[in-house]
Amino acid sequence: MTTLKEPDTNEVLSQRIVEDIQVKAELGRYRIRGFSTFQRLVHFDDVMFVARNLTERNSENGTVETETILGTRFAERAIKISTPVYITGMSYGALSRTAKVALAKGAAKVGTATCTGDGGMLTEERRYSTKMIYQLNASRYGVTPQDLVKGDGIEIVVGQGAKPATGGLLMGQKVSAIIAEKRDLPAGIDQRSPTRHPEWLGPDDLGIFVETMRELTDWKVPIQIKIPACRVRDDVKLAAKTGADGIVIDGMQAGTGASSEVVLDHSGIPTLSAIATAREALKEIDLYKKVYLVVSGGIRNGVDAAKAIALGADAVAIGQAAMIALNCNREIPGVTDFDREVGVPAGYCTKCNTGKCPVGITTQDPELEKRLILDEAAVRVANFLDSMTTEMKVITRAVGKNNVHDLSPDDMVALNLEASIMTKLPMVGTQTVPSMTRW
Amino acid sequence: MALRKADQRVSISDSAGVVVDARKLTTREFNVRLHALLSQGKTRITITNPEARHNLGVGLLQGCRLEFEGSVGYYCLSYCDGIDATVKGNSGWGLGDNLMSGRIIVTRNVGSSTGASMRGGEIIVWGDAGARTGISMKGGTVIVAGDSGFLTGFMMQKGRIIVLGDVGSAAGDSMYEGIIYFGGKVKSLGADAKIEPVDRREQKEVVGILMSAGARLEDIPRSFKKIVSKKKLYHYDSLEPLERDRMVI
Amino acid sequence: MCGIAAVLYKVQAGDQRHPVGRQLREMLYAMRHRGVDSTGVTVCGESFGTDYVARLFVPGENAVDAKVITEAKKAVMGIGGSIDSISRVGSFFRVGLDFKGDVRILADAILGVPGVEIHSIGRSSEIIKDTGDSYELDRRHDISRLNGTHGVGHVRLATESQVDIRHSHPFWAYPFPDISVVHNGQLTNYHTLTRKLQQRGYRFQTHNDSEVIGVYIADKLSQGIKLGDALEQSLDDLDGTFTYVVSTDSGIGVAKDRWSAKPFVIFETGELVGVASEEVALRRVFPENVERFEPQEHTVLTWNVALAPVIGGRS
Repeated sequence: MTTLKEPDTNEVLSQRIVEDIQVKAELGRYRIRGFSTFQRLVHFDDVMFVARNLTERNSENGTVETETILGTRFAERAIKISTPVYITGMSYGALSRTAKVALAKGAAKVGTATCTGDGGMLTEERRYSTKMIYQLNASRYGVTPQDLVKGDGIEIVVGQGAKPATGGLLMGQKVSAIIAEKRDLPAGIDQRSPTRHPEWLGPDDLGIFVETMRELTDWKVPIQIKIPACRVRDDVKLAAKTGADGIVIDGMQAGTGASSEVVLDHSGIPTLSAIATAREALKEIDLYKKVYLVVSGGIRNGVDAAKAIALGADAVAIGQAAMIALNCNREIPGVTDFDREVGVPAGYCTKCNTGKCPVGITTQDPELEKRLILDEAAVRVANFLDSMTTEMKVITRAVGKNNVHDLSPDDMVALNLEASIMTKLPMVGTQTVPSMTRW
Repeated sequence: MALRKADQRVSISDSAGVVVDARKLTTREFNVRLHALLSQGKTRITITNPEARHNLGVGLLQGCRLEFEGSVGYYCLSYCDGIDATVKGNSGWGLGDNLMSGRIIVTRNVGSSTGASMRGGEIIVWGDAGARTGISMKGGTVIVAGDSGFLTGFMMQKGRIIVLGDVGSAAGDSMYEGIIYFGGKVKSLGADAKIEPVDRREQKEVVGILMSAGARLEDIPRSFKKIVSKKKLYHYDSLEPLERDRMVI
Repeated sequence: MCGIAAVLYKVQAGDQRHPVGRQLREMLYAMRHRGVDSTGVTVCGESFGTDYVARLFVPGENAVDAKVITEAKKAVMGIGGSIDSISRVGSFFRVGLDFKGDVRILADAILGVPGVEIHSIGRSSEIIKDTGDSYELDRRHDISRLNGTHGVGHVRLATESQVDIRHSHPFWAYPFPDISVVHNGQLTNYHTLTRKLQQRGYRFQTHNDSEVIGVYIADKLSQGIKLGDALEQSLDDLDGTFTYVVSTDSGIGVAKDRWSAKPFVIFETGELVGVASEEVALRRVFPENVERFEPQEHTVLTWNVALAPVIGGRS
C-alpha cells in the first residue's frame, strides 16, 4: 500500500512519452500534429522590464505612440500599421475560409496587416484587409502575378520556425475539392509542399530572385524574407545581403497546422534567443534599423511584443494567439464537445492536422466551419489586437517612455542565467552579462 | 540535333516595331521602358544586347511580341501573362517562371528550373535544358528539342513536358500528376515515377503539339514513352484513429 | 553565396602570355551580385625570376610591425633559402625567393612565424585576394597587369564580419605549389574529410570547407593520380553542394555535384575555354555569339595548357 497521494513521474519516460511509443508501435512512422512544441524553453517570461523610479523618468505625458513603419530601405511605399503587431501567414487550407476572412477583418478594424499563407490569396482576404502581405512559399500554390502585385508587401518564405527546413503539410482530410482546385492537386491526398523554392537554391540565387520580385512590384512594396530561427547570425546576414527590406525571424515556439513531431519539438532555437542574435548580426553589417526585423513564434500578449521590441524587433507577428482569439480550444456550450470530437478536453487540443477542429478554424468541413461566426470572430480578433496594444502602451509608459519603439535592452533584465546569455541582458542582481568570446 | 536548325524557322519580326538596346539601360530602366512601351500600345519590341543579364522582362501582363537578339540571364520573362517571345541565344535559370499564358521560344540552351511553377502557355527550347525542368509545374507545356537534365518534372502537379532527346536522372521525382513525354532514353526514374507506353492517339496528340510549335515531322521521334506518377506517395500508409476519418467534398 | 570563374588558353606562342588577370577581373565584376564581400584570383602560367613567389598576409596590427616580416625573412634564410624581392601593399606581401628544398619545409618555416598567413606559394602562379569587388582588387593589387596561361577567380558573399580575408577563395592547397581551388557551394562531410587528411599529416589554415577540397585534390595528385581521375573520385567522396574549379600548373579541372545545385556554364573555342557561374560573366569578356553549354550534374571536365609553341617555333 502506497502512502503517496499522486504517482511519481519518471522525467525521461513520462506519461506522454509512454503513450507516444505505444502509438508508434502501431503506426510505424513519425507522428504528426499541429500547434507548437511541448518543450519547456526559455521564453519571454524569463526577462523583465525594470522601470526607472528615482532615476531619470519621463514627464507624465500620457500618450504612447505605437505607429509602425516597415520597409524604408528600398520600397517606395513602406507598410504603415497602427500597432507593431500583425497577423502572420497561415494558409487557406490549413485554415477555413471563415477563419482567414475573420483574421483579415479583425486586422483591418485595428489598422494592422495580415498575411496570406501557403495556399494562395483569397479574394475576400484582399478585399477586407487594409494591409495584406503576399506570402511566397516553396509550393507556389495559387500564385499568379496578378495576385502578387496586389500585396502591400511580399514575404519570401525560406521556412517556418515550427518546422525548419521542411515544407507545408496538409492531410487528406483537409484537401477538399475546393482546396485541391486552388492548389492544383488531386482531392483527398496527403499534400506535402516542397522544402525549397523551385527556381532559387541558395543565397546567391535568392539575391537575384529578390530583384525579380522588386521588378515585378515596380519597386513599390517591401520585400521581406522569413527565416526559421536556427543559425540566426549567418541567416540574417545572408538575407540582409540579398537586398531585402525586412527579415522575419520565426522562433521554435511558433505554431503550425501540421508537422512531424520530430521537427516540431527538436529543431530550431527559442524565439527569445533569436532576437538578440538577429539584432547583433544586423549591427555587424551596419544594417540594424535599416533592414526591419519582425519576430514571431509564441508571442502571446502585448508584453511579449513589447519585450521583443525592446530587444530589437520592429514588429511582431502572431499566429497561435490570433487563432485562440478566434476560438481555438474554447468549449462552446451546446455547440462543441471536445472530448467526444477530438478526444481531449478543450484547452489541450493540438489536432489541427485532423481537420476536425470543433470550432471551425482549422477545418474544411462545412458543418464544422459553420460554428465559426464570421463577424463575431472578427470582433474577437480586433479586441485581442487592441488588448495587445493597450498592454504595450501601459508597459512602455511604466518604463518612462512615450513610443513603443523607444524600448531598448537597458529597460530589461534577465531572471536566470540562460535568458541572460541568450539575450545579452544582465542577470537580475548583477550588472554584467556572462561574457562569451563569440556568439 | 536536327531541331536546332530551327533558328531559321523562327520568324524574325520585320522592322515595324521598337528597338530597345539593353546595353545602355540598367535592369530597372529596361523593365520600366518595356512596361511604358506596352502601355503606349507599342507591342512589337526587339531587344538588342541583352548580354545574358538577369530579370529582363518581368511581370509583363499584356499581349506583346518580343525578340531578344542574344542570350538572357536568370528569371527572364518571369511572372508574365499573354506574351509571345523569342530568345535568340541561351537562357539562364528560371526562364518563364510562373508563366500564366503565352509562348516563349529559346533557340539555344536553357539553364535550370525552366518553366518553374508555370500555370499555362508554352515554353519551347530548341537546344538542351538543364536540371529541374518544369519543376512544380501547375499547367502548360514545356518542349525541349534536345536533352533535359537532372530532376526533370520534379514535384510536377499538372501540365506536360515533351523532351525529344534524353532525360536525366531522377526523372519525374515526386510527381503528383502531369506527364513527361520523352523520345530518347531516361537516365533514371525519380521517387514514385514509372514509365508507361504511349498509345497511337496520344502519340498523334504529342506530334500535333510539336508541329504547331514549329517542329518538322521528320525530326520528331517515331514513338514517345511517358513518365507518370505511380501515385504511391499520395497517402501515408498508416494513420492514427483521428486521422482515419477521411472527409472529401 | 559565391560566384566562380576561370579562363584557360590552350596554346601559347613561345613566351607569349595572355591577359588572364584582366579577363578574370571583368568576369568577376559581372558576377558581383553573387558576392561582393571579397574577391580573389589565381593567375597561373606566369614567368617568375625566382624559384618561387610567396604571397603572404599579415593581418591586424602585425603588418605595421615590420619585425614580423623580418622574422619571416630569417625563417626562410634559416632553411637555406634566399629572398630576392619583397613588395608590399598594406598587409599583403609578395616575396620572390629561391629555395631548393621541399615546399612543405618552406611553408612550415614561414607559418612558424606568428602572425603570418600564406595565401600562396608557387613556381608559376600566385593568389591575390582581398575585400571588395574585382575592380577594387585591381586598384589595390594591379591584377589586370598579370598575364599568364590560365587562371581562376571567385567572388564571395560572406557571413562573418567584413574584413575577413582568411575565408576568401582561392585557397592554396598547402603544401603543393601552384594548386588552388575556388568553390561555390557547401560541403556537409567537411569534418570527416578534414579528419582523414589530418591523420595523414596535412594541416589547414582555416576551418573552411573549400580549403579541404584543394588539399584533397592535391593529395591525390601527389599520389600520381591524374587530375581528371582525382576530380571523378571527389564526386563520390565529397558530400554536399559544389561546383568547384581546381588550377594546377598545367591546367584547370571542374567538378559539378550530383544535385546540379550550383550553376556553371562553359564557353569553348579552339583557342581557349572560359567557365563561370553565370553566362553574364562570359558575355562580358567573350562577346561573340558562341554556343555555351551547361554541364549536367555529376560531371568532371579538364583542360590543359599546351606549352609547345605554334608552328614555326622551336619545341
